[in-house]
Amino acid sequence: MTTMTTTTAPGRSPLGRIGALLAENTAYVALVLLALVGSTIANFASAGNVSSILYQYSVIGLLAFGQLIVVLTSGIDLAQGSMVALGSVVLGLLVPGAGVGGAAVIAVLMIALFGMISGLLVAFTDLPPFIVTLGMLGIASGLALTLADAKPVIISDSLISDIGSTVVAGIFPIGAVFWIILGVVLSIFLGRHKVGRYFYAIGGTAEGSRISGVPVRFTTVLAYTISGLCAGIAAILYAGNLGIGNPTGGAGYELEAIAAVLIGGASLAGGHGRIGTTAAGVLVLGCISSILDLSGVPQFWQGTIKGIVLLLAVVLGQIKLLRSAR
Amino acid sequence: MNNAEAGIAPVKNPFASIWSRHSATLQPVLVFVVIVVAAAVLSNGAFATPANLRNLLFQGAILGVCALGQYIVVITGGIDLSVGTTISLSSVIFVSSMGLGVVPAVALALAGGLVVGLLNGALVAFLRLPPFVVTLAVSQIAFSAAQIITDGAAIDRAPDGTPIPEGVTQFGSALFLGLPVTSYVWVLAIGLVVFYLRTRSGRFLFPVGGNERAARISAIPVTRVRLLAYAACSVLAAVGGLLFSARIGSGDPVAGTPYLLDSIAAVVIGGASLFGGSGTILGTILGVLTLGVLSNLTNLVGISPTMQQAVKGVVIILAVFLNTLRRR
Repeated sequence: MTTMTTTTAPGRSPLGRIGALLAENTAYVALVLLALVGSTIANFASAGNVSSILYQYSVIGLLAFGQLIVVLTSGIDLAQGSMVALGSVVLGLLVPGAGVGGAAVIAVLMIALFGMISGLLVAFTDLPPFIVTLGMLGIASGLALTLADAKPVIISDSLISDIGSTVVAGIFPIGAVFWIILGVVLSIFLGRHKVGRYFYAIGGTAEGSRISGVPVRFTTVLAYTISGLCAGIAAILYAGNLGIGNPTGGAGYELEAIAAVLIGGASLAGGHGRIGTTAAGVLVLGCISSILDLSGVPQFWQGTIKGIVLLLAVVLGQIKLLRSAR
Repeated sequence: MNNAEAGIAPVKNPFASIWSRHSATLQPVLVFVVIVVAAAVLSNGAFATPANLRNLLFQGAILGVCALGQYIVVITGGIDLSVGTTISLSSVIFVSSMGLGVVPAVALALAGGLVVGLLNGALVAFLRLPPFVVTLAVSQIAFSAAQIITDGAAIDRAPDGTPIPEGVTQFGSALFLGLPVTSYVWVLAIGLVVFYLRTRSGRFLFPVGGNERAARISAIPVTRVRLLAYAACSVLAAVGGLLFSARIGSGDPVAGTPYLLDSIAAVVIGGASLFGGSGTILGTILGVLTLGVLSNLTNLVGISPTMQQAVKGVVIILAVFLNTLRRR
């Protein structure tokens, strides 16, 4: 079974060992550097701004945790953004009838079910994960548009707007609290639980895992189901932040989730990645976005920069992969 | 294992034998025939009218050109998720540079496509990055470039006020011998791609997608073949963007969005394997027409237009599933 720590790195000299440590924790280093850059900009380090970064990026953060688990199994989930749209629409439509609690539970379970369908298709057929989830993206987005009649669904319930507006300890929006709790739970699950270790195993080598008795199909289905579960919770937060169910919302969120996972040092080849560094990757994206906002960079340019950041993350990951293969 | 043995075992049934040898061609033909018959039967005569068929070709021409590009990339075992935004980018560049004249505007739009394709191709071919993530990121960059150019809105004239000349929009809606002029552009593009597949570089697409290691050992310039494939795909998508602008009379940063799923659906309905190395042009052409008839059909049976994307998602998954069954 593969391990995720650096125990295999030789680290011949103390300098080499420090280099390896930095390479393993690129996301934390990048986060510290960005915070330093940010602190030269007025208002960046204020509680209000930090809170607003957390507010915007806890939705992406939830998606990134789900994406990480799928990526560990050497898969990918391109449907996350459209699942956020579908989940928020379902929530919006159900709130008048089922109440906020009931609607939220149904929406989250429904999106988790969609994730499970992706997982079943990946586990039991030869379909590549990107095509399964691309198909699911189309399905979820078509359903969201149809259910909402291509218009935003207004949610007029005070509990929903509370989700968007409540701030704990002056800095943590409710979304961020959810995100941190889920992060801690998943981190323990991935690091300590037997099933959590399976995700690393099947990403490292599916055939080897099968032989050593890892239930590869079960684990694969579980990974996509967890990704769906995360997307469902993200959809509730998204709807809470905006006060609407948005059938065209969440577009491109999967892109940021994938970028965060890769900045966090995970490999698209699977078997490698951590919750902590993924969270740092999310915050790196949040800081970049905030710095661009505060420096007055126009909105449309930010898309270009996000695309470039994703490309850089992929390229750096590939260089690391090629070096470790050597 | 059983499947592999079945493939080698002598087949008695002559039909089974024909199927096993020609299934790659027969499957898209069969699917197309079934869909056309269904549409003809269910529509009470509304399907086989000249106006409806002509409309199918108007839509098919744009998708047809883009699907050819996706086909080339899929043969190499890749995928291009930036097809949709490249269409948008091209249409936006075309309309916004109208002040320079139509020919320079066309050239600039195609150049924009070429840049996108070379970026995709260089990252996939030289750095051996997974195509879906490279093209996803490049797609995001192309999309925001299109938004920057028009400030996010659809435009029908250049910033200096030059509108799209009437000749261009006439080109987009004119008929020649009863068929849309744009469908002749599609035929021309098909001819070019057929020719390309017979050149040295084009012939290499199949071995590169089928077995990269064997291709490298046989001294096939794998890197160059890949680079050219992505460049060709994006240039074809840019042509699709030009056709879109001519047909609709605008440049739109979200124009190309539906064409991403459509182009992949057309190629996989056409029987090409996403693992590379197999697929026919005829299949891709039939895939484009099948999709056109299918969207006709869903309208006829009263499925809401907003469900189109969902239908396409199901179609893609089903088609790829069928193709993987056939591959065994």
